[in-house]
Amino acid sequence: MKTLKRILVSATIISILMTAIVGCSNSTTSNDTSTNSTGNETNETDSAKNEFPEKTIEIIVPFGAGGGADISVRNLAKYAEKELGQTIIINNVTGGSGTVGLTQLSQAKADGYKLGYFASTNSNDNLLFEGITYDVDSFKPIIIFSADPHIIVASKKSGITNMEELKAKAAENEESVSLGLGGAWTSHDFLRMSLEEELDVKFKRVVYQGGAGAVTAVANGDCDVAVPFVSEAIAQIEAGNIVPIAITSDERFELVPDIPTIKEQGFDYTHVMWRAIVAPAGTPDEVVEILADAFEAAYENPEYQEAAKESGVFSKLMVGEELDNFYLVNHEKYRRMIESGIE
Amino acid sequence: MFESILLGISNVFEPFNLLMCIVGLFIGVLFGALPGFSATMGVAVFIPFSYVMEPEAAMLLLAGIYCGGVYGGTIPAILIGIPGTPASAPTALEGQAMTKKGESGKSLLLATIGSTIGGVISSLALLFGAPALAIIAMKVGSPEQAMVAIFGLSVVCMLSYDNMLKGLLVGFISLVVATIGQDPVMGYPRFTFGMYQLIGGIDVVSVLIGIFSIPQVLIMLENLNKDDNKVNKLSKLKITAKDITSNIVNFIRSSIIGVAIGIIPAAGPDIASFFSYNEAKKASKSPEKFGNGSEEGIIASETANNAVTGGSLIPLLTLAIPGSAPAALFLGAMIIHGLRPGPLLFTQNAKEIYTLLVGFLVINICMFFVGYIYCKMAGKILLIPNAILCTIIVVLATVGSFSINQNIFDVIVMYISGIIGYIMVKNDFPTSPVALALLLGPILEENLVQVKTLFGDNLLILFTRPLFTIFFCFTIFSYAFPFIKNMKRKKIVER
Repeated sequence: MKTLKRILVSATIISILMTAIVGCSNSTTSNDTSTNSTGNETNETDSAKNEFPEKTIEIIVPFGAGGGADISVRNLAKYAEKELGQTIIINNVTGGSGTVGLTQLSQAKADGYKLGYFASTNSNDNLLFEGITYDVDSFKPIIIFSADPHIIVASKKSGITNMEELKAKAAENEESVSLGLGGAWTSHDFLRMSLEEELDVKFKRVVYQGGAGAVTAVANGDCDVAVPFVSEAIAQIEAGNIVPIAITSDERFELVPDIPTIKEQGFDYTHVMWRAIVAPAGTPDEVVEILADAFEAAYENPEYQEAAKESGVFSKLMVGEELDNFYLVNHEKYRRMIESGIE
Repeated sequence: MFESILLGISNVFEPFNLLMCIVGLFIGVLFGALPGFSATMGVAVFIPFSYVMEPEAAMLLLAGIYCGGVYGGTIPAILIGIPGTPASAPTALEGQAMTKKGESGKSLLLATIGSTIGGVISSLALLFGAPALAIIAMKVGSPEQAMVAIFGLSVVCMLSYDNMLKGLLVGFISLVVATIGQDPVMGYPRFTFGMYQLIGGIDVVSVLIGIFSIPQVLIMLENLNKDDNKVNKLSKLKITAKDITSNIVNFIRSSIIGVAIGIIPAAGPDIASFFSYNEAKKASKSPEKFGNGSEEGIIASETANNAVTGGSLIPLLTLAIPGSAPAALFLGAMIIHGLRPGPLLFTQNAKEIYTLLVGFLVINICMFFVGYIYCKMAGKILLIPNAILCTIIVVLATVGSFSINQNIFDVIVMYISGIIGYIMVKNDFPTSPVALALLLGPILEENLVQVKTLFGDNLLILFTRPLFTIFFCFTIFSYAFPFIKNMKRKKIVER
């Protein structure tokens, strides 16, 4: 009898724990029937509009917790929760270089309760990876809330201190300057392609898994140059281990005000990786509107701006029609780069 | 610095902060002890909870979960031979034999002491040596990491000492499995068969959950009706002074290995425990006991994996380089709380950061007591009938592998590797080389390619790097060791 009791207790504890963990992720399916059963069919869309959101919203971040993508979304979600009056759960569906999470999102019900994190290159994933079922038309962008510039940094050993010197050194010989990237076909890699075009040089391409690795390689002098995001580089810049050369946005960044832009150094070049929140295509317009308004309000919150700045997220806002157009223009731009890169 | 430490001490002992340390430990040990769940998962689940707290309390909670989680894996490893986390895999090789010998209590207590010592030494390194040790972290470039990975693979030889051919075969095939997914340089898919789920490679953690728990479960079920050799009582949690004194060198060596592996980017607690286990076996006076219940092995692996915790925070806090998977999560949590890692952190946020550093020490000391409580309770696991225990483990493994990426594909991977693991165990193939090869394979590949691109024209230049040369010598020795030992043994036999 006593043993049975023990088993029961342990079984209960385990089941509670499991429900807690699994429940965090799968809470979307149960509430569908409740609205229909009221029988108020005429007012349904209206009430959906008034009532949305009536349950927890989930944002799929296709990258690991604690990474740049994760931090930026969590920050925004924290303030958007207050606007929406509902909890927002961040679900890190990792794997497949971010494609597993986006595939899940593209197949999710388009009711506005499942959203996802999306960056510059994702609309071209079906060109970049094999077996991807989603494409540019599978998503409806809600808001661009960030456009992260890269910082071009050089090792002390290389002696490079500005863009002119970088160009001169790289032009000496093909592949005379090694460039550390945070991964193949990432924003780092696209920056390399477009920068090579702009400077008319060819870098030696060294691929690391993540920007931090590339920065460390520049800090110990193994690699000449790297193009990390601000948050990946700032600790080493402060420690004086790497030399910042330029920031790739069109304006200087508050967090590192001493680093000049590339434009200031006489090159007509910018490269940012924008981050967006998207919904599956087919999400009702009024729901998209409610979400966009809420995220925009969260974005405008000075507290959010402060937090974003602290964590090295470069704020930029784009919503509505402007965003829809930009989404397609950007898609074309990257498609061209990928096609020329694959050749 | 002294003032900051005093400030840290006074902060840690504020009731709420101290409570968070202990709550973190209790949660962490539970996550660690459940097969299929890990320290990384524990930290990930509780990051959102920490939002609402003050930064200090949040950091302490997560640090408690991290340390507790790494420790917790020991308990099932010793009692049922299933490591709670991959970092306790070497412990599982010894633990069950110890339990069968009726020394489960002693093993648990020794492992708890080892974890505490490892944790305390690593917190001291973190508290007093962080800036100096961070310089070492920076010196570890791709040549050094590649060498560490090659060195790590030599452990496969040692683990399969009795049957070298089978061990090497398993290691080799696992290395090939580790190449599934995009190649790191050009991003071409390899062995993906057009499945997008395989683009990022198969998930190592799911494979390890499967390969360590499913075979053990099936074996337990085979013997379901032969209950005579089932140990259903935890032996007394008692050790003698000799157990400690004879292992002092082991404790210290394992702690140093742990801290060092923690500092090296990419390699985490799992690799540290294998390394340390391996070194203990080499240094041991009675290496024949390894695999048949050696307390030295348990101490080595458990001390080292907890010594990683503090070590991995060193490059993280000073240079924002995460030294292990949970440390990477920590980075995110810190940034969310407005603590940006870097040299300025120690002056600008002295209060928060020294609370964390001192708290880390306090947590590791408390870990002994929390661990002791858990060990006392864990003895009850042995009372659960095997049929029920096995069911619980399979359920946990399924949920655990699902919750890593919220992906059903990983669950399938888990079951397939579990079945392969069972076939392997039945045919006397060692399973631990799978863990090593899968963990080290990607590190090896990535760094070898970098070395080739950067130093391809003149590899000899690498020997001007002191750390590389040291690792190189270790590696040569490590590969030669089994053969030298074999020769010696033959000579003795000939005489």
